[in-house]
Amino acid sequence: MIVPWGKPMRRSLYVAFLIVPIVLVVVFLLIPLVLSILPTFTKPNGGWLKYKTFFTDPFTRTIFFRSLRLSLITTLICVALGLPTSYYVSQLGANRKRILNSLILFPLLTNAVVRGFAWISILGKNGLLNQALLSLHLISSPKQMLYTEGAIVVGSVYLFLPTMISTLTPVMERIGSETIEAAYTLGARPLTTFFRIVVPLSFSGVLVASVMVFAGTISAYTTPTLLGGNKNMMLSTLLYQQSNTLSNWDAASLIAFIMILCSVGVMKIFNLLADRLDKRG
Amino acid sequence: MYHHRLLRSIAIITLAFLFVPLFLIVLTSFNSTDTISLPLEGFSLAWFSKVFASRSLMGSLKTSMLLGIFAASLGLVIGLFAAIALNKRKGKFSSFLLSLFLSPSLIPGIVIGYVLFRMLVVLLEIPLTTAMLLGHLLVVLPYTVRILSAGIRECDVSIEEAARTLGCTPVQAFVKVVLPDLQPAVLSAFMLAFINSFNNIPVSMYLKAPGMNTLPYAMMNYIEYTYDPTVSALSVMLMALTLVFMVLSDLLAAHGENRRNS
Repeated sequence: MIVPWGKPMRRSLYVAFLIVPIVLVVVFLLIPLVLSILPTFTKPNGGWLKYKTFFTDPFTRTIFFRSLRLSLITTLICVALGLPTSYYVSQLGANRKRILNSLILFPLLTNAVVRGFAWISILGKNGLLNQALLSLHLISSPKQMLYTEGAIVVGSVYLFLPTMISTLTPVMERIGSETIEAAYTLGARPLTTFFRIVVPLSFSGVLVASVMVFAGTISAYTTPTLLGGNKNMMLSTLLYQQSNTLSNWDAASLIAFIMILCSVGVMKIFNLLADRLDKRG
Repeated sequence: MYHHRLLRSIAIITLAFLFVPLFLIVLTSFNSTDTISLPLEGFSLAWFSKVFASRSLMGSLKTSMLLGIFAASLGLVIGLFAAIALNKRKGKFSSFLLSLFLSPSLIPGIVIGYVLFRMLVVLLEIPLTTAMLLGHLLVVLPYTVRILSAGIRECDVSIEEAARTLGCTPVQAFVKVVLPDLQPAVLSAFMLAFINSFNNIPVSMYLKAPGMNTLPYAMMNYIEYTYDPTVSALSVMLMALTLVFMVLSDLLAAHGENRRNS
């Protein structure tokens, strides 16, 4: 909600202040977006047929479902790791909490190429993990870990875990120690308290953070390129290939529209769910 | 306090998972061998000097810096005016306009890059440099608008009204009273905008002029062809930059708190 303060501004000034960003977003983003996507519906021998082809062609269908699947797995892992971690951080004293919070923020502000590169040097054929496993004689020859779907998931979890944790920590703090102490006083054990009190009370926060992780993973370009290689394409890498290498505008626009539908669609559904929960709670 | 061993272990492993990879990069960047391996064979700064000697990396660093400063500054000014207008007058459309300005953050970066390339560059033949600036402005706009709107909403209205009663014009009241109060928000908006422009890949990838790479893209290209600790060294330098930004914004925030309390 926007609450105005002071005396209202003159209308002419209001328009003058807002015209630049309006032009920027509408003229240079929204209109080009609509103009690129519209032809995928209207062009002859196009329309729904193209979308049908996209979902029936094994090549594109595999990429579509891989994107959905890997984004979903990434989100679930982020939730599973993020809940205990943010609970732990929220229970710390003020000073240690401040330090940990900035440490968690640090990877978030670090370039995605740097973070992807870290995992290349760990998971690569001559990477640090293979070196370690070989020297411990746990494996006899280097394992293929890079350029797999697993590598994309690890990289994406690494990319978005800070988002999950930094979104959940304030939610956990709002639960308040009284509630948790009450649970203990009434005889609940730590794990019971966590699963029956903390997790349900932070559920709307989990939904909000999950949307960010899911939408982020499905639209990320750097991580699947660096860690997935050519064999494990995602929607974003396919879009880049179609537009930049093949100049296949129709296909690229179609993928762009599907990507927007995926991220915005999931956002709408989850926000609706979170609103419902908030009203109930 | 009341920690269960299992939950605490998961938390500590997760935190380790977040920091160990970055720590490993720092270690390997000082290695004297030309492969990325541990344990270290010797201490060397050779990879750092290789970064400084690489004309393509240093050139792209300059490009990214200039682009980031330009996009963040312009985005800040546009965002500031927008935030003032949205909070100063309850227009019928204010709420809608706010979501309009935040919408670029909902659209996947690669789609923004593609659409600008397809329509502005290919169809309208707008020069790449202009398209690149527009793209980066779109990337930073949601950050500046969101942070500055929140900052303005938190400002104490009564101070501004007092300034007006004491004879300030609206502009004077804003510059002398509101803007100092808004300083922390302005600074964090600028930094977040700069970092997001600096780190951006998908938009830059489509809109870069030939021979004018941005740093993250140049790094990606480098990794594709060479695998040696040069990128580790460059990564360490970028991490140091991030750290400087974080400490700076922390100090400024603390400074702002102090001033407000005194």
